[in-house]
Amino acid sequence: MKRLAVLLLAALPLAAGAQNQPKDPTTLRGVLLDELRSTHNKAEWFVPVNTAVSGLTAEQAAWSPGQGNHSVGQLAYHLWFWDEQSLLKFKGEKAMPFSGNNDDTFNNFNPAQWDELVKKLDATMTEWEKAVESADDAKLAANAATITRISTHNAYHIGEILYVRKLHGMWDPNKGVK
Amino acid sequence: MRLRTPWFALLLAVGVLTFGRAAQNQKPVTFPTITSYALDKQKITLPGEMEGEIDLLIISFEPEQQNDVNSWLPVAQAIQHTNFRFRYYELPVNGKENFVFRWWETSSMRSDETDPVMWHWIVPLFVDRQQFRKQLDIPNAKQVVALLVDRQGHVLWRASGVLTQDKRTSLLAAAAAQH
Repeated sequence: MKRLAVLLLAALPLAAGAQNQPKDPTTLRGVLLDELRSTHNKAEWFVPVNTAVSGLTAEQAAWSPGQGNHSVGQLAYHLWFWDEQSLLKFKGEKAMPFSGNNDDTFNNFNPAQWDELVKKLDATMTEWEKAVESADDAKLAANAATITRISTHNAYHIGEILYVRKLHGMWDPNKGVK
Repeated sequence: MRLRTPWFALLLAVGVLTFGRAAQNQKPVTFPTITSYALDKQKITLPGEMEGEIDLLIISFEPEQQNDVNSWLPVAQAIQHTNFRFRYYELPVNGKENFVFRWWETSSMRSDETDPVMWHWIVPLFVDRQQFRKQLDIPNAKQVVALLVDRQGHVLWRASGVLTQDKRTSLLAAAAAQH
């Protein structure tokens, strides 16, 4: 009996620790929000986009490794464009004008608007999270496959942004991805 | 209109019948079942194993047509960003050749396309070119052909030659209609 009491006492801190662990989402809404936030501003095992584009001058953002590879600014513009375009569609609003040429979603980046672009990207991602929080269940289910792919698309290009920054020596490993 | 002679009426009737029969005989074009290997050496049977529910197949017949093929890629990439069930493939069409030629040809294509990520989406075909063109109602091998196809092989949309603004708009509309 004494042994059992000692074991129970010893297990108490473990149980308390388990309660403090952040819980994994169990609903479709929760999973989609988790994915969006992990590519926006909530660091997981990879770097979110807010960190990936922070601390750069316009000149640094416009640097390209050459051979047709994109600059950080072009990648950020591409992400903003498609995230914003899909958000407008989700909200039933009029789409932005688009040539139908995907190259334009990179090449329309203007270094003079770098700081504004960083803010717009953050605002669009914030809007996406609000839209997912407030959408009714049917709308969420109908758009879930698209929303989850927005997150994987974000993660894909965030990887490229980090790679370009590392190539140019513009990345602090203390921010993640050593 | 009053018909003045019975001959004219007869000719008109024959014309209408012939036209009607020809319209009935116009079968919808279906992509033939072909098994081949992509440049990444993955085996694929078209159209059933295409990765998209609808896919843009950019068909070329000569290496010199690569620039025309490339003109289609940005619009295909744009559609991929709005319809995640859409994919696109490049299909360079060669005649039936022996193993050595096929190896030489595919090796050469790999050295031309230096991005290995793209190799999965380039599927060289080694077929009877004339029969292939006949099956797809392609009159000649002088131009690239772009086909929007579902996994059953139904050709939902088609165009040929280099991409133009009209063709881009038309393709975007056709892809949106399937979304």
